[in-house]
Amino acid sequence: MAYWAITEPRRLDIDRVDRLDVSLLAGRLSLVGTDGPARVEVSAVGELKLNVRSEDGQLSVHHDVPRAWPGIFKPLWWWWIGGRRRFSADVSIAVPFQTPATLKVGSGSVIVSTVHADLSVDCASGRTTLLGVDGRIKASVVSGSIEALGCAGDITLDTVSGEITLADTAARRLTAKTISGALTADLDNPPHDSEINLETISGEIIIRVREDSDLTVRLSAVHGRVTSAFPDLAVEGERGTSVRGRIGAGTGRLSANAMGGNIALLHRPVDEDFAHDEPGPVGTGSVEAST
Amino acid sequence: MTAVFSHGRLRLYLLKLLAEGPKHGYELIRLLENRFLGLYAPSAGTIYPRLQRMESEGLVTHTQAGGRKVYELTGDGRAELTQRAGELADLEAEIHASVADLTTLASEIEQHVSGSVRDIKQELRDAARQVRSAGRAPWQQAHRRWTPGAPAGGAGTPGPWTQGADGSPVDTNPVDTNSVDTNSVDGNQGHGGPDGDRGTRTTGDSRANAPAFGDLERAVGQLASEVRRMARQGSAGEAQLRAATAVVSSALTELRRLLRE
Repeated sequence: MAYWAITEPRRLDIDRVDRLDVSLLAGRLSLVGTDGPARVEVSAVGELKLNVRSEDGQLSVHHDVPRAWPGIFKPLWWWWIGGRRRFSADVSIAVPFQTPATLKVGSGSVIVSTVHADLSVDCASGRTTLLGVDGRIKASVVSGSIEALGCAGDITLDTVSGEITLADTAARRLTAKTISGALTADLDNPPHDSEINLETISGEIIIRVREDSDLTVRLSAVHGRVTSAFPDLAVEGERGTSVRGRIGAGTGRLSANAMGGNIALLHRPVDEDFAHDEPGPVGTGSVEAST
Repeated sequence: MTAVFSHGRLRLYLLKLLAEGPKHGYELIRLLENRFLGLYAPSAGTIYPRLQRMESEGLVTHTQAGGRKVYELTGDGRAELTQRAGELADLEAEIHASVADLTTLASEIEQHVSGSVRDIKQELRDAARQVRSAGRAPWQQAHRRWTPGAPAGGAGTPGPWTQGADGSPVDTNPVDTNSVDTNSVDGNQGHGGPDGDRGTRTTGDSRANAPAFGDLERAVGQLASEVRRMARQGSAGEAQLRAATAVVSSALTELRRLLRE
């Protein structure tokens, strides 16, 4: 077991990491999957020291929060007023690609790239950025946006107030929810068996799926309008408030619900260069099968 | 990050990846992406032509397996790889150096993602707006866009598809861009100016011909989106784009004549 208490910027090399667990009160956390050795880089520490512990492949990085959490005389808000400035730490971690990780940041931003394992991100206030993450991804942000680029796998995202944007994402299963905040998803979904579920209360939804998708579609907007670029889908409702129908064979599922915003369904032309690389319509076209 | 791959280094790196075992194109893309921590993800349009060229030079061969092309290194390819071993080591060192400073890398990743995401968001918004205005019930907008007496629809208020090929949004009619509800559309009638009467008359006609109108709307929407896509993706020069514009405007003249009757 190795243990470090960090009070000033430094770099640590870690022999072996199978699991990562990070929790910061405030600051910026970045995690990168690499094929090199694992390391932790702390480029800024606030008034609160950071505990880094490595034990049996379990690497954990925690802000050293006093055991006695502020009580009635020092209510919670005391921590947050100026907390961001006073406790803010900047931590960057590199781990092997296949390392599952649990990340928690109170206030600040989280950046994750090329991790191919289970990932869970919790952020109270701040921005979350995911790049090339592939696996079971779960991210929830209370106030702040989530941006994902080139991700794949099984993705669950939710925010209370904040936008969710996914681009070039090949998710087989995607669930995204916002209370207020736009939802924009540009999907390079596996055509035959994707499951996509988007929900928002007062935001707008824009989804783009591959034009050769096989999906059973249900889109409904309570107070908004639904529009679809697929000519086969019928718009229902007097003011066009829902769309139901099937695209292609309808083997996958796409559903989107908006309370107060509009929904638009668009189609994405299939990359011709990829066409010959994709198995025929009978096969199980998927990213997983090809890697 | 992409600067790392200048002067045929991508080709060298592809040889290196194939030396580790036969792979198909998509796999190569994923491996490159991993190697560069997601910051450099070459598209299929970059990789396939390169593989094909390497194949014609005899450095790789491919076999067809389950509908996919699996590429494999040939003896010549291996020879080139050993010959350029020093160069490969340099490249590896450079790649390593570019990911050595994790803190800077994090900022780079953040910028890269937010930039790409912003572009895509803008693109999708434009596309959605276009679908929305094309899919609007005909009697809500017929008088605005289809009456011959409203040249404003052609020149004065550019529709979404008159945007620059680079995707930069031209300032469009704010009513059209932001809201789609009936009220504001009606409120916009004033734009039609002296043709207000004619517009109302068309409204009456279009209600009767709703299905035919729907077909026409769809066709026009399709025209707009396809032309836009082709203009963006294709490497058409200025001359071709001008020629295409001429084709579209002559079609428009034809349509004006047809629909005026």
